[in-house]
Amino acid sequence: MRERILRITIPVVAVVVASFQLYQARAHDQVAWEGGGFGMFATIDAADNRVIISSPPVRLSDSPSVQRALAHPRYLDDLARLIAAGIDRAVTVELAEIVYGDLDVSYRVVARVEETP
Amino acid sequence: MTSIQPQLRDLTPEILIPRLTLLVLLLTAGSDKWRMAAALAVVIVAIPRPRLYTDARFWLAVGGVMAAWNVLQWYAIDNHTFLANYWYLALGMSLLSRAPPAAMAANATALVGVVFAFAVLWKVISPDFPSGNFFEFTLLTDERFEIPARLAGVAEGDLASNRSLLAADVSGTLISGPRLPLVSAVLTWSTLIVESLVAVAFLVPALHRLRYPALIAFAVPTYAMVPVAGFGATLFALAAATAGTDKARAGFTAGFAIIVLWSLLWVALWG
Repeated sequence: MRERILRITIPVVAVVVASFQLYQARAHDQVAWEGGGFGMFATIDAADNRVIISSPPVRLSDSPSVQRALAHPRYLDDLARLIAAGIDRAVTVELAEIVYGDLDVSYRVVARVEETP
Repeated sequence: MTSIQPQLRDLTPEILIPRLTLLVLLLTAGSDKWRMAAALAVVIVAIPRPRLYTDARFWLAVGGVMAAWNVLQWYAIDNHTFLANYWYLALGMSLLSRAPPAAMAANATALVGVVFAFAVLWKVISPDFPSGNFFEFTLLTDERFEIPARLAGVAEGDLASNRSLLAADVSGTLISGPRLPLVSAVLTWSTLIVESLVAVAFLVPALHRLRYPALIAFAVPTYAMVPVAGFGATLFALAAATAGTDKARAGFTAGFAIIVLWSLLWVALWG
């Protein structure tokens, strides 16, 4: 029994984490490329192919909060709150994903948050 | 080479696999300077001390610290970092076993199978992979795929224009090449077939004879075209752990070295 546990525990953990990441990606728009689900090189929807748009426009750094929001729309709220506090005004923040087909590239908004300071 | 081969064959799995894993620790540290500094410090301290890096507690501690680090931003952590982290913990657990080489082989075999099974699952359910859109888009915009893109007939200047369009975050039309649909289709279906083969070969014991041919069929074209040292080296360290013979272990260790050297050469030649 002990030998069996030593041989299967970590592969089982890998399956659980990958299944959770798969669920997060399908149900909550998390990127497939990261997060332990092994969905790299399977879809165009990578964090690099997502864009954050704010209104009014502000200069967005490559900060961890931007990276978090790109990877998972759930963190768009945090980002909107930070931006609103930084500019001392109401702000709308959107997350847009690339749509590609027949050589055409366009962007589709997949999440939107409004925040007041 | 004749002087290296006997040395590799003399290394037992209990020494060789942890030693390769120390290199994996360095190669998967990524661009975070603190993570790199920590990995470098661990490797410098451990390399001259085989009793340390062959101790289960060492790898369980490394795996535990890495897991605590990774969990903070798990959604943005690369998959090869996850795989390496699983391997540190699996290696630690294997070294607690009464038969460490067999436990290492069992853990590594299952991990390779799981990784490839999920990689295939993702590609099958992806809206853009089976249609060929993923490779079409990637060939036209990802600089890591410049060699197949040029084979598809896309001019160097057009690739640069496509990347500029993407960097500007504006809608537009990408510039293609005459053989793009063909090259995209070949890459799409060969990837699906080879990765499926690796998954079933590692997960179905009756197909164990297919493991090494399938893994080599995946690794040679993939890493020749897109040398990703972190994932490639981790995969070969795991393959070495699954090896049942000294010859196979020496072969995968050589493959590990070739991937690392090729990745360094690639960066030196093409940036």
